[in-house]
Amino acid sequence: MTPPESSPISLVQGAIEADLESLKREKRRHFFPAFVAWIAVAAVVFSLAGIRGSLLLQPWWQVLAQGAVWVMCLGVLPAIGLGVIFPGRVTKTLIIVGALGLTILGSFDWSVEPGGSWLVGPCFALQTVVGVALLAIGGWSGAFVQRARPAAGFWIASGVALAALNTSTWHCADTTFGHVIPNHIGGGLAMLLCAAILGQLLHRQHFDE
Amino acid sequence: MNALESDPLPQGAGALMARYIDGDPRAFKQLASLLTPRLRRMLRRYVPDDATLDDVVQMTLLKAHLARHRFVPSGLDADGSVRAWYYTIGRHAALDLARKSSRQRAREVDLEAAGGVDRVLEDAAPSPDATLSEDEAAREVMTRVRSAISELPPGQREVVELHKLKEMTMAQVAERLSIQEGTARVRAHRAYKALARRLAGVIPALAVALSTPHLSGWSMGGPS
Repeated sequence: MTPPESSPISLVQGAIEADLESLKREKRRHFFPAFVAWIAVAAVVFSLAGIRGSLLLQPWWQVLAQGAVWVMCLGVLPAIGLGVIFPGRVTKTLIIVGALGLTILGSFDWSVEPGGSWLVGPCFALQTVVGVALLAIGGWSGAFVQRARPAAGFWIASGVALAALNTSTWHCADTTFGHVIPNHIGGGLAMLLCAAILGQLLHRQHFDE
Repeated sequence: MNALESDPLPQGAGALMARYIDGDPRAFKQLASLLTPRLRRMLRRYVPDDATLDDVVQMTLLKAHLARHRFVPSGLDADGSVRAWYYTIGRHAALDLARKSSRQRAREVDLEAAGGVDRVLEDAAPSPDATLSEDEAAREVMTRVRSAISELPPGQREVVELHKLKEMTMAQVAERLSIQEGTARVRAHRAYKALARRLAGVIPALAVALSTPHLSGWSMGGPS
């Protein structure tokens, strides 16, 4: 039988829950500057490299999907990786599937025939620069070592990769399959791999000490 | 069959523990609701009375909370690891409390044999700093708990005082205040939540205070 809400033990349970809540608040305060720095990196890149002119000429649902990916990569995914929010298994699955679906939906021009150069170009390099900057901020702020489970680092890595990919999507006007797959998606996957490996190394180093 | 084999935690306790260590309050709440009744059953063989049993369970939860980052699930049985870890902390807490109580009783007997407090105080060496600081920490917590209770709205404060300090049941509290029992429970629930929020910063000191039996007049498990 569990103790009733007003039992003596529930006071201690309440104190521990409140302690955990205050740790979460502390974590949010600690990572707020890193969050601002992530946004600043994107803003600096857009001000230097420019936002494509056709951004708002896309179908509304595509702009919406890209906006949702920004929310995911800057807010939801890092928050899970940091242990600020704790969605259940089903919600986490929906978030992963949603992030993938929205990225694919927002990355291509679905009205044109598949085509393009299929060559790796400057967009890959742009994504690498953005990804490395975000990764440095994440690693330096301690984002990869906030949770005991090493797998939590993948959420941060996914945030880095998606943010880098979405930067390309908003910068580059070439939305053909032959360009987007090797450059944008390929760059995102490469960044995901690098961020995940770095995250695991940082996690191992931190928890082995 | 030992306690571990006879009272297993349901599947998923290991995953709850992992989320709790990562800082999820909801996971802790679920885990505590699974653990508390089992801890009470296991600890009853070491602790005879309900009030002390409550103290030991509280102590166990607090000690485990402070040491949660040291928990390592062993082998394939994560649920069993959680149970074994809490049971070990619980047993140690019960034995510590028993040792402290017996030391205190021995001191009282020595005091009587030596001819009273004044005589002993004259002969006694200064108390060790550790004991002093422990007592000071516990007193500080008592002050903060009392202050937190005094800041509650009058309706909630009355319920807490009657329920906790006068050890009345909720039915008795309701009768005394001429309110429905459900209303008393709601007020108590709100009061304890408010107290928990206000006392969140004193968790480590709370653990010290709970482990200091001679200062546990404010004890949540049984006021003296």
